Amino acid sequence: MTEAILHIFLALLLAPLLPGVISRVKASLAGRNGKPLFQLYFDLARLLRKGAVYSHTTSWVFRAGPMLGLAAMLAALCLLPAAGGSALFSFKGDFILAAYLLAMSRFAIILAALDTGSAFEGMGASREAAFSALAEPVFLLSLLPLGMIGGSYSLSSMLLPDAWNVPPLDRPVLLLLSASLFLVLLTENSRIPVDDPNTHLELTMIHEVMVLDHSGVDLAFIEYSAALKLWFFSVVVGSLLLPPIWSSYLIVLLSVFSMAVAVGLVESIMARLRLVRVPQLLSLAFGLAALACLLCLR
Amino acid sequence: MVFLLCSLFLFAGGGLCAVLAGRGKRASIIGAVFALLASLAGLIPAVRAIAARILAQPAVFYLDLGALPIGRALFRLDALSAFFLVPIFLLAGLCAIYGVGYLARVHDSDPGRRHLGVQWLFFNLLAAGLVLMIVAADAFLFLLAWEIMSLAPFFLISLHDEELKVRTASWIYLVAAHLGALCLLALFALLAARSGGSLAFADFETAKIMAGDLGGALGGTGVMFVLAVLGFGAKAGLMPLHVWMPETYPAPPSHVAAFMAGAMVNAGVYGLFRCLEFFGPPELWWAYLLIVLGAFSALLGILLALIQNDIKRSLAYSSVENMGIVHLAAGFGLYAAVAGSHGLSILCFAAGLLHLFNHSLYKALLFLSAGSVRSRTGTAELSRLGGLQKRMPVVGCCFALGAASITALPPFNGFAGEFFLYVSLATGGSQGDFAGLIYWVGLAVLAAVGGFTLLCFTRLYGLAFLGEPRSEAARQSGPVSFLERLPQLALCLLCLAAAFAAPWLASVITSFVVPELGFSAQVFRPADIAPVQLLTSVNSVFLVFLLLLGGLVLLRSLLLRGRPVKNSPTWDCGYAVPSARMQYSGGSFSQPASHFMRALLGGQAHLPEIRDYFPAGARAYLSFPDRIKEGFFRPLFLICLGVANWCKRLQHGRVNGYILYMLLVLVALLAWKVGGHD
Amino acid sequence: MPVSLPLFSLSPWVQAILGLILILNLGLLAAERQQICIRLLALQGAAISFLPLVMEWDVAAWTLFALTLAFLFIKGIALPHMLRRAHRSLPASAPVPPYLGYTRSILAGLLGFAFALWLAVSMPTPANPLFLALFAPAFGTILTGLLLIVTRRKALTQIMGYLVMENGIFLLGIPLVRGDTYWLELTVMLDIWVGIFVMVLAVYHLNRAVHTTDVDRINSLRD
Repeated sequence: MTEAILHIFLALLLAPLLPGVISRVKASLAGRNGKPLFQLYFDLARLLRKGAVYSHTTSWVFRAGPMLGLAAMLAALCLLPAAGGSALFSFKGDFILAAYLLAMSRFAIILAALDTGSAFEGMGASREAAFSALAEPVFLLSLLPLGMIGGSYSLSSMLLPDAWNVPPLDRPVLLLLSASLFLVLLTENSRIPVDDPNTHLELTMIHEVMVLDHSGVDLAFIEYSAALKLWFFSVVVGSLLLPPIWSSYLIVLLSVFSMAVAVGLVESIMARLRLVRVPQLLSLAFGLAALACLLCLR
Repeated sequence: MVFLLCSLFLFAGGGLCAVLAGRGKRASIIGAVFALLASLAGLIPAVRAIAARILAQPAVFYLDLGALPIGRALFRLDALSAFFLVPIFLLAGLCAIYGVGYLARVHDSDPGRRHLGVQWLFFNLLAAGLVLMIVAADAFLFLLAWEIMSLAPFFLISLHDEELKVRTASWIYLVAAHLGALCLLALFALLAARSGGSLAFADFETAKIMAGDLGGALGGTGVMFVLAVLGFGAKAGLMPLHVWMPETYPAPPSHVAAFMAGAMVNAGVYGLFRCLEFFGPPELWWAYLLIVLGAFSALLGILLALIQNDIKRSLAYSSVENMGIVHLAAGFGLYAAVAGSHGLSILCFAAGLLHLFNHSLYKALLFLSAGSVRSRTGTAELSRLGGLQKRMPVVGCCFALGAASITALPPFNGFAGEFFLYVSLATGGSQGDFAGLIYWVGLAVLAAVGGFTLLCFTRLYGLAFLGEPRSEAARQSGPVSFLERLPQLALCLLCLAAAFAAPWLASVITSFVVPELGFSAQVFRPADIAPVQLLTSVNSVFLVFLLLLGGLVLLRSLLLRGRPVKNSPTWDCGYAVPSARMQYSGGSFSQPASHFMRALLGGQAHLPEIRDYFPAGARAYLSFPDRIKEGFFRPLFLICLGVANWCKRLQHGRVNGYILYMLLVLVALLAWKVGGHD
Repeated sequence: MPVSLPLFSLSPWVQAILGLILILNLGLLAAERQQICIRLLALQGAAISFLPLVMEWDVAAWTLFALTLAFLFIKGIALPHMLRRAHRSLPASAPVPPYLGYTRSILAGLLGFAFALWLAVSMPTPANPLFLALFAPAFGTILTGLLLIVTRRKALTQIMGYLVMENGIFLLGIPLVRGDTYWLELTVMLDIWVGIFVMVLAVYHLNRAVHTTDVDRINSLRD
């Protein structure tokens, strides 16, 4: 119980570090100095001190969107197991609730984007919804073999700390799953082969363009929930890959930040895919997950 | 039981009184008051039966109806019927309240043009037919009620019969209803043949035990099952038989559409579940059939829903999707039952029933809200709406809640049923062998459907209610009357209540309703999956979510206090004269998804051909014809039409010809009977 | 297993009458002009009327005579007379070829008689041997009547076909007569008489209204 709460605090505290790590990795690979590691902290602090500007068009939906999104994200975090222990709430099927809480967060942000009546934000909303609709089955399907290996369909036993001690036949399953989940991570967090967070043209953005009209506290909430989402997926993918020699917070941190480094590496060596090619990426992920399921069921 | 009969008589009597009261608003009030009273009276036994769980012995009673050929009408109120009665009575009452407001506007716009009394007669008959069908315990009464329930909507749909679309819709409905009823007639004839001519449901059930000898001669129970799927599936809108739904639901007044979409579709599921009791041990291919049809309906239904421009059409396709999910659950229930895992089977059926119950509530809510939109703006097309959240805030909030519920988002009521089904499917797959794979395939389909539902309903709500109005009518619209608002608010409350009552509902369904389905008679062992505990845990996370939300609201208001909060135009990228028409449209919003899924959806781009250096006005558009309708039913019905036209030549007006037919038949009959003798 | 029909066990008078009826059937199918048809029909009616006399019913002799006279009056005189009057009241018109040519009609009539024979052979043996004996000619006559109705274009000829059919039914009913049941025959015939009366009237009025009795043209009245 206490360690679960501790893990949540850790996530709340350290999640904004992840985008910083990613951009530092990218910068150093490109031979630049890059943004400070704690840039997102500075941004959040600045945004939280500001007032707000709202469009004439918007209604309460626009104002409620960021709060709903962050609340759902935080609730999902409560379902994420801590290092070695179980999550704050752990029951059979909690991975579905987590996935739907993420969907709730997306729902709120999409509606807030549509509330502005702007074509740009509508475009971003449309693409976000379409991509995550394709990513949803991949995500859930990738978690199923984990439940089978772990013995129970609860995130706490799915993301088991002794993933390294599984029967040897299940190791390729884990490898396949971590690959497919990593692709889901990239999609869900609007990372490079799917979406470029650093682009300068509204027409090519997906996530960033959805939040064009948000300002002040609202924008801070959105940025923060995006960072938490990255943390959530990093824990999921990372726990499959790293050998839990000791089940400790250090390992969790290591796995999470190594995920951030991996994302940074991918962003450095790849270009953004054309929009119509993204489904191919996701069908690749789906194929990996399905293969893992087949291997697992044998 | 007295209350149930009271309710039936109140429905019927109310309809008659409404007709006697004439064309005006008085008829409206009389009809609605009777419907409301009947609903309240009917809710008493239904809710009591469920809440007290006293119906270990189902209440069987009968009325002596000497005038009818069956002599006496058998009724039976058991757990399954009580469970299906609750949404019917709830929606009948609420839709009646809404109907008073709606029909009053119709009357005011053109006094005397339409006969409101007749409308109420058929509305009440529809409700009475539904109730009667659900408590009927013999085939004759069942089919009679089925016909009443199937015919009444025809007259309700054709209220606005000056529109060609409405007339077409009512005819399509009538044809579909009758084709379905035809299958049911054949089904019950077969069942009656098996039970030795008896029409009572109880005899059907006893006959299944000694089935096999006679069953084989009639093509076995397989034929019956297929007939049941065809007949009941047509009513529920299962995929290849769904074509009437998107045509029919947009046509009638909204309270009727809401009642049809919320309560009448359940009739199809009820019929199928009821008949499962009669068929005897299920076979594996039945399960496969239901799973395939259900998955197909769910996936294609939601994809078709997300490309529609008309809100109600989109909602109709979403009904197809939801019914697909229910049948998917039932299919997996059968599959598990065949495989011998009865706990899982019960869970799957329970998931389907829970989903069905929740669907009744939020689908009715969405239809009522969409009806308010259309009655205020004169259109339900997304390309003409927008900005309604500010103009009709209550309706907007109701629609938003309905959209969140149907997307199965926590903490709303759509989540429980789908969660239940997900958990069942996930555990079903982990039996270790390869046969479990189908559960996971079902889960992947369900997940994809979930994703597209989010796309579909953010699109409906976002484009109709948010942003700037896209037409003058939408700009001029205003709030709706109290009578139209009240049922929507009530349904909102019911949705929220159902979300938090999910553990209780689940326990009622698993321990009480599902065992009523004859074939999974084994005792449910809660050790497999404890549905109540799971949903209680889910509820606690819901609470955490709501607490967090409250905390954030507080935090935001604290932070923003005393700070400058300004208003400005939306960011327009520096463009000087943005207009409402530049907003993202319905077609563009769904374009990426429809493009990605084009293999399933089809769709044609109609692009203008540019020949000249100075091209004239041109028009480009995308169209997504329903491929099942265009590719299967249209050719089929064209062939039928051809055959019918050819057959018309038999009626040529020449007496000689007619007598020739008789001669031929006479000769043929004699040759057959006499010649076959030796 | 062919069964020999007890046709030839009947008295020679009956055989002669049945033979005459069959020949008249073929004649009716072959006749082109309506007057001839009417005469042939009258002859057939008269021939049939004598059957009670030669059938050795166990009825009083005066009844038999009365019956024969009644049948003779209705079938041989009254009905042909009505038809003749109707024929005369209609405007003269050139004979129109039937749907099925005359030669083919005869062949079809023969085929019908063959079918009737086959039926008689393959039928379960009835208790009444007389029924079996009379069945083939009777049913052949019925088929001839139907054939006339089906293939002819003029309304009047169709009525005659109807009458021929009635003759067949009459034949079919003869073996069933036991004691006083000849009233059955009588009532059937009266029925037919009324029917013909109505039909002739209808044809007459139809002709006044649409100026034709050609059934092809009457088609325009359908729907």
